[in-house]
Amino acid sequence: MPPTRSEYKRLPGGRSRLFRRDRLYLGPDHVLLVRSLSFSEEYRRFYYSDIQALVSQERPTRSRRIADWIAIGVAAAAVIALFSTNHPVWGSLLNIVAAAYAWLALRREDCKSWVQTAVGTAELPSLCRARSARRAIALIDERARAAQTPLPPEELARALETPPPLPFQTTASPPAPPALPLAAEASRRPSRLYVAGFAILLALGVFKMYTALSLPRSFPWVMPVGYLVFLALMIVPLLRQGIRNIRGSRAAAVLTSIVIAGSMGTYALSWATSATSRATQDANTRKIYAMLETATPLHVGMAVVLLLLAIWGLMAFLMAEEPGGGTSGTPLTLFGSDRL
Amino acid sequence: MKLQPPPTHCHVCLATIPYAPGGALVACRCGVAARALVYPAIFRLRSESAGELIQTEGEAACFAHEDKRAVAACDSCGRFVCALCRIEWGSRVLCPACVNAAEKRTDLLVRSRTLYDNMALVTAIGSAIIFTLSLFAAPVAIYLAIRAFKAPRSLVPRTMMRAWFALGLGLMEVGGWVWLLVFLVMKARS
Repeated sequence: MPPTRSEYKRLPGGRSRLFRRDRLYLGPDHVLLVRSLSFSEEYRRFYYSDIQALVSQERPTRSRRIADWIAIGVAAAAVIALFSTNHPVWGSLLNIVAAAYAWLALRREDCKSWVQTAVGTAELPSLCRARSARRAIALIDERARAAQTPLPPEELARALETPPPLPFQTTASPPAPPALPLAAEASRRPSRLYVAGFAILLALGVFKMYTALSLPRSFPWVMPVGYLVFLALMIVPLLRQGIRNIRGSRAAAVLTSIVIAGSMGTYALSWATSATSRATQDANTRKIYAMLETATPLHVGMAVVLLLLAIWGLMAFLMAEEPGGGTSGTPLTLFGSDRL
Repeated sequence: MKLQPPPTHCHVCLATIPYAPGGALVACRCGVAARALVYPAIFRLRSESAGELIQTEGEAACFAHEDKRAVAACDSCGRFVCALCRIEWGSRVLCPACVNAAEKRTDLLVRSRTLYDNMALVTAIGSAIIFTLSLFAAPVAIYLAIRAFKAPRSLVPRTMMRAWFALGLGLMEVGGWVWLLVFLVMKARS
């Protein structure tokens, strides 16, 4: 009897991307993984009787905490700047940004789930949030247990200690490649100067936001000097290690920041040097400079750009997962020994 | 869809995930929590037998292989099948002929479906935004909406609201062009 549409019941959870959406449905005798693309749907079935294991793993929380602290710091600095200057428009914008961040934080993916069958192991992309994953796995678990002949827990535990024979003949695994020398690994590790540079950019953004909202503007040389320090902190490790030693998102953050902050730094430097020679300028030039100096939206926009660049860079360098994982010890696996 | 690395490996540090009986939450060495639920199917071996030959007279034989012993009956047509012909289909046992027939008339083997209603909706809205395109795009949107009603639908619950909306929008756009044409002709005559 083919399943009709009404026989599928949607499971909690889901993951949406720009042109892709993943959902999981409970069928009469199988779980249906549905990947909706823009103009088509792809299906994959996992029969309850074939499910060997369901695994879910939480994502590391350290990187999330760092991102939260950065966001809280930026918001606090902006709130202090707003309170000291009392700008309702920027306060409203900040509230909107804070609400958007809170919404994204609530919808953040914090776990990964897989289903293992005799054919292979497939990720269940819709079970990417711990709470919904727990509820969905409980529902699948109930049906998978009902569909399979139960084994007593002690027998299951005993059986797991002995790995089942493989269904195909395996050949001896090739010898492991020699380990890379430690010095080479150290040289591939991105320099901490990048993090310091982005921290300075964050401080520059906060300072710019403060000075943009508190007229008259003071300390004209702080920004050019800050830009120069930032550029130095970016370019020195780049020259020493090269761009190939930093991975995609980090390289993008570094190069984008150098281009944008470099342009803004040039502008800030010319602004600061021209400020010293205002007396010799003609009336029209002085008027244009005065108009630019009082254009609060322009300065706030620049501060926002700096803050976004800094947050992007810090997140790229602090949140990236470091590959590795030691091989010491003899951890148990699903089969009781490390046979994979 | 792409197969992932075995779940027994932590996706953060690539170490093996320790197993705890009963699916209890355990921590990987990198500190990330993991939970593994294991089912009896993990111990089931695949049957790779080509089917045993008939040993004694009077034993049931496979429908397709007369010299092989039948191990089951097809749940759909009732024919006896040997270990080679036996196909497990969820909780049912089918013979190859029934699987072939099922492929044509059932949703159980469908791997993908085209969403004509989405196509119609995008075409209709796009042509409404860029109105000059609607002269060509609106009929296409109407065609796609009608196709969406006739084509096999999604396996999962999905309303036809998109197709109805695209059909309405497409008809309105075509009506707008007809009205414009009539208006221009009338104006030219007057």
